[in-house]
Amino acid sequence: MFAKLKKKIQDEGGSVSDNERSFPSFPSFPGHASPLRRESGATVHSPLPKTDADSGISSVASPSSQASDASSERIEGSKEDILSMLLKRTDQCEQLKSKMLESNSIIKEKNRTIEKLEKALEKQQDGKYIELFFQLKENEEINKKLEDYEKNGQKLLKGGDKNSLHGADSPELVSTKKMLVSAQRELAESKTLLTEKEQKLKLSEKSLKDLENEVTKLQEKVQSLEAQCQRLQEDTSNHESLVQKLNNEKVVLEQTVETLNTDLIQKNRRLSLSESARTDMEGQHATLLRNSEIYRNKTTKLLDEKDEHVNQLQDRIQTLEQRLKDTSLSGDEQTDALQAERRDLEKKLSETRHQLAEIKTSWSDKISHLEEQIAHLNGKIVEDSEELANSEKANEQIRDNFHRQIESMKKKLENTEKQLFDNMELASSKETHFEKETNQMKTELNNKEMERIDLETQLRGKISSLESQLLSLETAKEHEKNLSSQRISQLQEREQEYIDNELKMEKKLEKYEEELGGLKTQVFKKSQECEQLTGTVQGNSALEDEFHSKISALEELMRTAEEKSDMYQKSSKTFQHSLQECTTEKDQLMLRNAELSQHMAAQQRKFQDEKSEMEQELTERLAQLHAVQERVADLQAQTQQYANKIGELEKDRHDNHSTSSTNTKLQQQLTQLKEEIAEKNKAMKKQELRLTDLKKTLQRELRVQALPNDEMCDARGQSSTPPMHRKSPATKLSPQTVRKTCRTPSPTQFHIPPHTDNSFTKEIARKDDCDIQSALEKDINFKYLKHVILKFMLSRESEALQLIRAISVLLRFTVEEQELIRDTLEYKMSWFGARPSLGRGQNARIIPPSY
Amino acid sequence: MGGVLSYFSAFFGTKEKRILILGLDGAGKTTILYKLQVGEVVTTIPTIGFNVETLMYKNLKFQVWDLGGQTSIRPYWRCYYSNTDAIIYVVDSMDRDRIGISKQELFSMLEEDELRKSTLVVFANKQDIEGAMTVSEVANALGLAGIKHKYQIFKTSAIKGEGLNEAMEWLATAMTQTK
Repeated sequence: MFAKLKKKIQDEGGSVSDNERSFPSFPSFPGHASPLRRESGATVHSPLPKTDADSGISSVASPSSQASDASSERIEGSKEDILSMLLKRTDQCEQLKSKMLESNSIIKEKNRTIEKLEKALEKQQDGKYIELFFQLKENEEINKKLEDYEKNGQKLLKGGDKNSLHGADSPELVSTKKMLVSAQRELAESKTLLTEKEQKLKLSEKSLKDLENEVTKLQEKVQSLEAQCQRLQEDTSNHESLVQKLNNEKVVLEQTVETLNTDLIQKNRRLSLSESARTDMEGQHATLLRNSEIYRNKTTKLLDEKDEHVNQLQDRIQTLEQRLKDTSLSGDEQTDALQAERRDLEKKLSETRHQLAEIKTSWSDKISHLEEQIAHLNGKIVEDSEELANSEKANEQIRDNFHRQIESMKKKLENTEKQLFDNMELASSKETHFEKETNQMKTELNNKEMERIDLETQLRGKISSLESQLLSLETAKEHEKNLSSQRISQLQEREQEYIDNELKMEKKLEKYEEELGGLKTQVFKKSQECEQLTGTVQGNSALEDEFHSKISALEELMRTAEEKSDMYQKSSKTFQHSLQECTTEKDQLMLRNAELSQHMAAQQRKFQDEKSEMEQELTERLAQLHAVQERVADLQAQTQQYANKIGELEKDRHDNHSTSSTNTKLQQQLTQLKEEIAEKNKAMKKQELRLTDLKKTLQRELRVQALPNDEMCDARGQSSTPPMHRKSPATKLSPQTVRKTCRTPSPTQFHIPPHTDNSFTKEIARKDDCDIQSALEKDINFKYLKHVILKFMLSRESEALQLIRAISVLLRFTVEEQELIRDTLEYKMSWFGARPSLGRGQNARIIPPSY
Repeated sequence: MGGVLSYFSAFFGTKEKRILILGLDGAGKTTILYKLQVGEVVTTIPTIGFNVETLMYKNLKFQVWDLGGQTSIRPYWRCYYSNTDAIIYVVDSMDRDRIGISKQELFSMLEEDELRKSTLVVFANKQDIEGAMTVSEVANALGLAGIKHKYQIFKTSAIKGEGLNEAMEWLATAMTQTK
């Protein structure tokens, strides 16, 4: 399209500028930008220095890490691993930073390309505008030229007409005329083409505007992306600063750890120094104490020795003095003196011995004291060692605390590294996102260009189609013009026909109007008649109305009269009702009256009766009163009589006093006699009970001790067993005493029945055998015996010896039997010894050994 | 065998001391015996017969005989009197009614010739119960002032183990002195 236009314009004599010539070349590739634009781009681009700044920061950061490395190398071997880790991490950080820088450079390049694209777009638009402006100018020029040409043509035509009018019909003129006509036609065609082109231009301008809008949107997007990029960069810078801070903190903490370690070591040294000093001081103190004690002892000893020397010297002096004195004496006296001297010396000797002994004891005491001191010192040593152990423990605890702190620091470092990693990941993800977006933008731009090309092609197609349509419409118009001319002719014919018909119809109308006037006169007459008739009818209706009103009034009167009658009837009914009620009430009242009168009569009667009764009572009471008065009088008389009698009786009592005393005495005697009888009865009963008990016990013993020599044994047992003679109030009621009491009368009671009732007693014994056994088992003596014998049999001989007496008492052994048992037990206990003779044959006391 | 053992025991000079625990029934003799021997309060039944245990106290060996104190078997006490070194006489401090009987038994026992040289220890037992007679009341009620033997009275509680150690300590010292 544009090429054609340009060619035409060139053909028509317009010149095109250099800018327009370059126009078709640039829209497809943004890379082919002019050097001017590149320069502008260099001036516009701001991010480039930023990258330089970033690199500067990284260069600044690296020495710090190096410094940290240097510091970490100073720390002990245990921290070297951590430091190596840290170095690795810092290397990683640097790598990441380099990556970041690379990504930044990529982003900047992309920004550059985007800007270039934008500029290209702007240039395109500018070129288009310029083009359009030039085209419009050209169009105007062409229009002006066309008008000039038309004017010229018309002039020429006029000139030609004039020429023809003038009659100069040369063939050249005709040819020129023809040429003119053809030129005019061409002109018209060109005009139409121009208008079309203008329309197309407008359309293209619209599309351009749309594209511009799109471009602005894209620019906004680009700006937002740039802002995001800046944010990301800021984030990265923040993270880098964080990392630096953490590194710094680490360095500081490591330094603190070092200082603390050094402090610890110093403190330990001081502690050890102080401990050693303390021990030295203690040792010095002990030695001084010992020295002082030694000196004290020495001085005391010296003093004692001096005292002793003094004493000895004094003694010697005394002895020498005595000797001096003794030299003057005679022989016997000398000997006496010598003896005295000897005695003194002996005394001194003994004293010195005593002193020696005392010294020995004191020495031993001292030794013991020294031992105690040694023990005390040992205890102190133990305490010191405990204190040392405690201080070591405290040191260990402090070390543990420092280790924990170091561990916590390590953990913190790890956390910060993790955060760094996260940030790096975020940055990388954002970069990828950004790249994606740039790619999308590119693709969108490409798409937009493609769309533009498509639109251009479509527009060209549409223009061609519109041209064809215009041609077809022109042909259709011509056809229609012909058809309309034909129709107009037909319609004119029809109009004429219609006009004829109208004239006819007007004539008819006049006729009908005349007829109408006749009919109207008739209608007037008839209406007058009608009015008269209506007046008569109205009079009749008014009469009817009056009658109707009269009838209604009469009916109303009737209704009121009926209502009144109803009212009267109702009132009469109510009156009748009230009348009936009144009559009933009256009857009731009458009845009540009658009842009341009857009641009154009855009450009056009752009152009369009561009155009469009361009167009777009164009379009776009066009579009673009389009787009572009579009685009182009688009683008074009786009292007087009794008083008389009392007097008589008092006299009699005085007489009978002596006889009553004899009576009481007799009664007392009677009661005493009765009590005596009761006591005797009780004693009798007791004696009877005792008798029965004794009988029972005798029978039992008969059965248990059926041997004939039993009585003899009993007698011996009684003699040998003293507990039977125990007489205390506590043991009076024991069964033994019962037995004892029974035993005293037994010879008489027991010896008689065997001769007479031996068989009888045996029978009883058989019958009561079971009862006796159970009684035996219940008997406490039996239980005691059983217990003692069991113990005797189960215990060793030496212990059993102690039970011989108890058993012999319980079983009433003789002294001989007792001795036998003791001897056998002792024989069993002893290693050597003769066996006591235990009898032979029938008198044997043991089971003979079976061997 | 027992003879051999007794021989050896005699050789080493630790002849055991024979002690009787006497008193009325229900005074707490068996409880005292087993409290001394086991150190615990055991459940007891009325003793019909006797219980014998050997105790070691301060290098002294005691053969302690706890004799039943019921009225009917009280006369058999005298069968065990021979060679007795000491008598522990237990009194129920709550039993005010039978303290007279207890006194009579004590005096009849002390009259015996076999117990002329033995020492007497009186235990005023059941002092843990409220309202029990005091030591002085028990001593007055028993008439201990009129006793010619070497004696001492202690307030004891067999259930709580109070006073037993003191009494045994006194007894041990008394035995060593008499030896």
